[in-house]
Amino acid sequence: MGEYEKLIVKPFDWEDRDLVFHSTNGLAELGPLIAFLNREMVDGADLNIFVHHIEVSGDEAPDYVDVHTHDVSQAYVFPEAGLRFEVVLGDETHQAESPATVFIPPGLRHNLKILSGKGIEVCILRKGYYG
Amino acid sequence: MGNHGKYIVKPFDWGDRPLIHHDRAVMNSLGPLMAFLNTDMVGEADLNIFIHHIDVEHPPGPEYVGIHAHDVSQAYVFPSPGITFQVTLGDEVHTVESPATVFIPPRLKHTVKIVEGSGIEVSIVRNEKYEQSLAEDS
Repeated sequence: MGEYEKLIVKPFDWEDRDLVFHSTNGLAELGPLIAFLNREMVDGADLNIFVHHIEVSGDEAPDYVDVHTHDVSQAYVFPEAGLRFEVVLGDETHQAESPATVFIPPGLRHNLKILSGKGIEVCILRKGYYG
Repeated sequence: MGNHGKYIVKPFDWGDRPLIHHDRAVMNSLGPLMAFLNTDMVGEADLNIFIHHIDVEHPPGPEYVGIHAHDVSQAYVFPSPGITFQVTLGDEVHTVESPATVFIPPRLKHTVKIVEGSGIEVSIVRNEKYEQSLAEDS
């Protein structure tokens, strides 16, 4: 099996587990939130990675996350075309289309809302747990 | 647009730019490598993110990156099913099917090879520019 096999992990559906600042019902309404990396999956991991599979089915997508801050940086990555989203950064609101990256420096208040479309969002936090 | 619009960036094709330890021509034969975040895109960024769009036409896929190490941690994320890859971690070689994550602690020598399939690979280095993260003896 080898000493390093523990560094290779399979993702799992976060389902209705708590996620601070977030409504997991609102998240789940858009599609499954999949945990790809955290310090419980890999001891010592200093990155937290979620992949959210998103499909906006109704006219209006739900709000699912309050404005909040982290003590480390974060990135939202939208790898492919097909999603429109609105991001709050400090006191500014911006709308953008995928593909795109949003970098959030430590301490900057932010939130995210998906407006329309279908695709994935990769959320990367620069520490081993979300909080 | 305000002061914070600079934090929202569009990815671009890395094209034939060099990437240390990587054979860019061979990488491009699998599909385009897209830069999603680095310090040239966002000055304050302390994450380096690439996405490689992969389609192996003739399995097994070619080798394109020599074994190397970084001073900081890295993760390979394969978000969706459809890719089989081989990752070397230290002196161990593992063959894995996506979806999967590989976490690489600082200074662990590693390389990756795509065996077959199609999909995307997200590479995240917990540092600024990719080259700045390379360990001195790599």
